[in-house]
Amino acid sequence: MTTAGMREVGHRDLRALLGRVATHGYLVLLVLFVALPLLWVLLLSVKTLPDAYTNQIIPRFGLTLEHYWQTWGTIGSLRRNFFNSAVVAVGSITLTVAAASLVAYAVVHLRFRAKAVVIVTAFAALLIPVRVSGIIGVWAVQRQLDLLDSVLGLIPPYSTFGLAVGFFIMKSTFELIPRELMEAAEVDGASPLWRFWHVGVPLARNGLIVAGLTQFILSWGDYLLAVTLTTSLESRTLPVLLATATGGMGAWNWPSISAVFVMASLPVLIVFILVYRRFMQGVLEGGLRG
Amino acid sequence: MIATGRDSLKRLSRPRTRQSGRRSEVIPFLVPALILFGIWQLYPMLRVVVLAFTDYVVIGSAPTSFVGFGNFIEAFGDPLVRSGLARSLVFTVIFLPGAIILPLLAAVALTRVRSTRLAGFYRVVLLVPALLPGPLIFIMWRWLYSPAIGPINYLLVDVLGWFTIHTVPNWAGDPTLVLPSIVVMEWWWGIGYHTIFFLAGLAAIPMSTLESARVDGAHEGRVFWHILLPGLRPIIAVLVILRLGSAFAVIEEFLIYGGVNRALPTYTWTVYMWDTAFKVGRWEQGYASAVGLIGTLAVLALIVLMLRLGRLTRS
Repeated sequence: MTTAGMREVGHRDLRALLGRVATHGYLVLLVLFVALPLLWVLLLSVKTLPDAYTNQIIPRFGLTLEHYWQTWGTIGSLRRNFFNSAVVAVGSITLTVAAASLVAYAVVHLRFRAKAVVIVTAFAALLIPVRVSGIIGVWAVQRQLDLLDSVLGLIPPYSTFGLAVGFFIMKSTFELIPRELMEAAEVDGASPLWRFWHVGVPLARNGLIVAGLTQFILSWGDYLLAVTLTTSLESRTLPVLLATATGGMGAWNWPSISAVFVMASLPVLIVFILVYRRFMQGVLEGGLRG
Repeated sequence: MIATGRDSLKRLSRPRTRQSGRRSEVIPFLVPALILFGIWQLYPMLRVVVLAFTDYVVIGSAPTSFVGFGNFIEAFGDPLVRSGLARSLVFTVIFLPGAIILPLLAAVALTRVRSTRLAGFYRVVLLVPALLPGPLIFIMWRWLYSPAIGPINYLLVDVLGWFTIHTVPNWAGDPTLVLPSIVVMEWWWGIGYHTIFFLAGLAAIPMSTLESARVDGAHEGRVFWHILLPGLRPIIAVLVILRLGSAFAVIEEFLIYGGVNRALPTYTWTVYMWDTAFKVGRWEQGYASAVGLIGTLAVLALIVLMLRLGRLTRS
């Protein structure tokens, strides 16, 4: 090999090395940016009050779980608000995933005229911030149906605002199911609903998980609808309660707030860990690309 | 999303295949979604449009009457509408570039990590914020930014010594800093989610194209500009359009950071609309609807403008 050739190879190695350093450097920076605030909150939630208020990074007085049981036991409506959030989440996940997959299945595997209308409408619902600009109208609907300040009443509006996203997730999922499979079932005389339930749904499991988790995050984290449509402490959801929390020395001191944060984050995180593999499969199959 | 939409349209125009035919069989598939959509999305939106032309107030017994374009004329002269729209626009303009570029680079970097375990670790950590409830993130970050007890300023004053208690920035309270501070929080929140979007897009680019370019000696910068970026174009377009709409209509972050304080830049058109409709005085929902409608039309105008720009850069 000539010296020029060797220099060439040397350059390439150097460039590859620089590339690797840049790649990992960037990712490590992002990971620190994302993780540090979370670790700080996690640590604060198990610190004693003296350590917390002197900003001790390494606690001098040991770690404690007292903020967890204390907030869970003493903040009057916390358990109630937690329960409310869970009810709304379960209800709206069921409703959204069911309604969205039915429409998505029809658009992909059945024949009817208004398909283009459905797709365009769903796309428009995704683009226009209806949740914000329609809030005055939603409030009026809830008032007419006597659903203001009702926990169960939050379920239909929550479901509706997740409908378009759910539709696109389920549409791209059902598109992966070979048409021939459905046609074979049709030849056997199976009705569309039977085919949906016995052939479509079992094959769309990953997409259903992506859609369900997405709706879980949407409903668990909503603030605007809950704060507008409910008024009493008993019917409020967790985020609305949390938003009223300000750091001080009382029941809402910062370690206690951190403990509530961790508790409030756990449900989605636990579900995510449980379905992680299928979720990632679903996403890479095109679940998020719509 | 755009691409699949086009595919479905193509499929529609295809000659009749052996898909099921009877219309009555389709109805049960559409009814649940139609009920939800009709009652909680279409009707509310139509009601807002109608209300915008009335002087409807909730509190009190004043009769409602149509006022034509009165609300709109008043709104265009209303300094709070103007500043509200301007503030939302500023927020959107600061937010958008980082919300696209940071995760785009993260996704490209992730595909270059050789160890699948390490790549999986990076990916999961980045995704965690997307799984947390929004309001919780807003309160957490407002506290991180807090001038008195927040860890960011603790770091700047006590650890690094770059500022004193008197000179240290009040990230969430200073009118010039609060919008950029919220933007950084938004980047933090969305980075993992957007990275997954781009990863899905990168997965669709054929490996053979990449391999042959690399074998031909194209260095990574060229691969990025000439293969990856064009391949990701549709995803970038969808994200820009979606985030443009959501950023211009942000409200929850602003309510939690600034409440209904009109002096702060967090008092945007969305907060003004909400404040007028549900908090202040007689709940003047007619006027608030007009404000909301103007904001919504501004969103649509921005989207159309962006689509035009996108088309220009392509040709």
